[in-house]
Amino acid sequence: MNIYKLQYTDKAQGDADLLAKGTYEVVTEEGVSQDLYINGTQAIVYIGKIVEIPATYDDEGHELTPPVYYDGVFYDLMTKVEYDFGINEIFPTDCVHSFLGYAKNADGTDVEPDESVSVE
Amino acid sequence: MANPSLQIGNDNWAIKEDNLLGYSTAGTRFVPQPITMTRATLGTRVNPSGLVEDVALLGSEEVTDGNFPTPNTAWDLSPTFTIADNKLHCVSDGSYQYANQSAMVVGKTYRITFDITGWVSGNVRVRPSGQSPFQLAGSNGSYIFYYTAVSNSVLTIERNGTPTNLYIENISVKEATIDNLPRVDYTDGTSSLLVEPQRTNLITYSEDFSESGYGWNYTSDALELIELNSIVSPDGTQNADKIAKTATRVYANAHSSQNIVSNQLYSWSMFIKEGTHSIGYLSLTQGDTEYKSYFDLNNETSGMLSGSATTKLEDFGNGWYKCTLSNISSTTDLSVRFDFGMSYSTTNANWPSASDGNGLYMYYWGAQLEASYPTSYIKTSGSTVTRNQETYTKTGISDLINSEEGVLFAEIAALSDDGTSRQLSLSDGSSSNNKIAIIYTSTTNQIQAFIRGSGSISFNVTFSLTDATTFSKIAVKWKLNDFALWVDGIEVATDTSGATPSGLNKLSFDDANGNSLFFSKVKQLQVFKTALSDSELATLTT
Repeated sequence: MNIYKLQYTDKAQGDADLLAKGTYEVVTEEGVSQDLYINGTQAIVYIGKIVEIPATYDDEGHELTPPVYYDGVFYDLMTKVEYDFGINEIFPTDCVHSFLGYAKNADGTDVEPDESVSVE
Repeated sequence: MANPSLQIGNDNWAIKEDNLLGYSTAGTRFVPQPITMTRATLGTRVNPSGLVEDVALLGSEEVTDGNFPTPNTAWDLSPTFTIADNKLHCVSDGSYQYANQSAMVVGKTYRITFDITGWVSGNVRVRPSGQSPFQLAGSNGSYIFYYTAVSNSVLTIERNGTPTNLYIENISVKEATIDNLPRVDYTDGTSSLLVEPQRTNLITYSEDFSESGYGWNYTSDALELIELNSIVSPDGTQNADKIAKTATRVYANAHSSQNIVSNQLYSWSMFIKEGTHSIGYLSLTQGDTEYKSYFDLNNETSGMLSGSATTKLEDFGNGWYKCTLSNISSTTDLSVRFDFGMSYSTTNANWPSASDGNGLYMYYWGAQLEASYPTSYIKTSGSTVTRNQETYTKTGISDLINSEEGVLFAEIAALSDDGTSRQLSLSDGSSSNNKIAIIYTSTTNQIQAFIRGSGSISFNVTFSLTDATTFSKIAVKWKLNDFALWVDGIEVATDTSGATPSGLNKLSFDDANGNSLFFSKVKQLQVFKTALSDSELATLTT
């Protein structure tokens, strides 16, 4: 499995690149559009903006200063396929997002098949 | 009644990596029919004992002498780590100290569990040697870590840089298969297959509410964490925190903040247990818009103190309740503040004065902020975490489906009445040619039976359920010029003209093309190769 950490200028650019790469397609049925994972994509996680400096609040919970964000927006892509994302692929050392059961900074792992069976 | 040609569930569950075992019967013999499933991450469920647990297939024990017997022959110990009374005593003045043994294979995923007792100071790392990032354990309680050994096969227990004095007991390391495992869930006390969408828990420390470094802000001193890992949580380990009101404020809550995405509903939930106070509190604030909710655990009621949103209270046993505040959205991407704590009453979050309620406490565990409706628990420890979506498919089963006549029966409940289309289908592999489907439609609480034969619609009826999120027994019958939909013992729609499909050979929890995934709870599913009689259908669906 491959896990890519991706950074784009904005969501429109990110969605367009992931669509162009063939990680998903947009399917419209009965007037309703859905994003469908294709070509081995397991998950596309739109992380959005990442906070560099958190907001501050007063004692009553009102925001005093807004958060400061890193440039652009971010995605995590889990896929069975290898891609070249060029400058959009980043390699953070302390990731803000991970996949359940995977190490926080995992950028890919293989799980060996287990033939044991659990019966209830 | 004829035997089903294919069955799932009905209290007969078996799982295997990549498969849910459906079955058919030949006389008294069960014939396995593996249903392919995918979910490329770990998932959790409520097990038959009512505990929240990871769904993982575990291998045999990889640690030798995990109960630390004496004399020690299995552990490589540095000078100030010692073994006595079936405990590893981890003592360090800050210098590097460790206990090691070879217990892993590089590239494999492991589940590491252990207990910390007699904690005095410091933290330990328990991990494949040298692996980064790593998790810390630094208070009394039970711990579960997952690691994929990246480059080292040695299990190491080591101090984390500061003076350390604590005991470790009962360490276990087992190879864990976590991907592509179906989840048989017992949330309501009965078994059902849990099929959920991709979800991300946006809270970065879902089980650690300590006052520094873990994302929760206690700067107003309204709450005080008075005992970490105080009692047994819904996952069966002693890792729930005891948190009390102080005399500093009239209110009693702590907060964190996170970004949310526009035009998306959100749900904010926690597991809360009564202590010396019984009314929990959750709120979410967007700018100046506040959504404040109370959860009266004693009277099992919940509601809004301010703002318009939805609350839900679910009994998880042993005094624990899952408290959920949901249906909150924003028109812009923004940072929101979310609070947990205690409410003075069911009408007022604030106590009459700051000193009132001083020392009252409740227990907290398992915080989760996620898009859309609430789903199963996703543990986090230092980052937001995603559980992937689940799919189920069985192809090449033309011998188990009679295209000319038959019945598709399912006992199902929607996860939410969320306005999306979710389909359970028998097909020829396409959505537009030959298909039989049971559909939760985008209309509230509506179920649809849909049959298409050779591209033409043969049967297309809808029925309004009282509540789509409670279990219904639904059957669709097909035969030339004889179609019917049965719901909970009643024939609710028929059609006496229409052609039957042909070439049906696939069961899938979607529209047959990978769209409209059937996110739901499934108690049982049966396929019959004959069109059952009305009395048989009444019996089947009652």
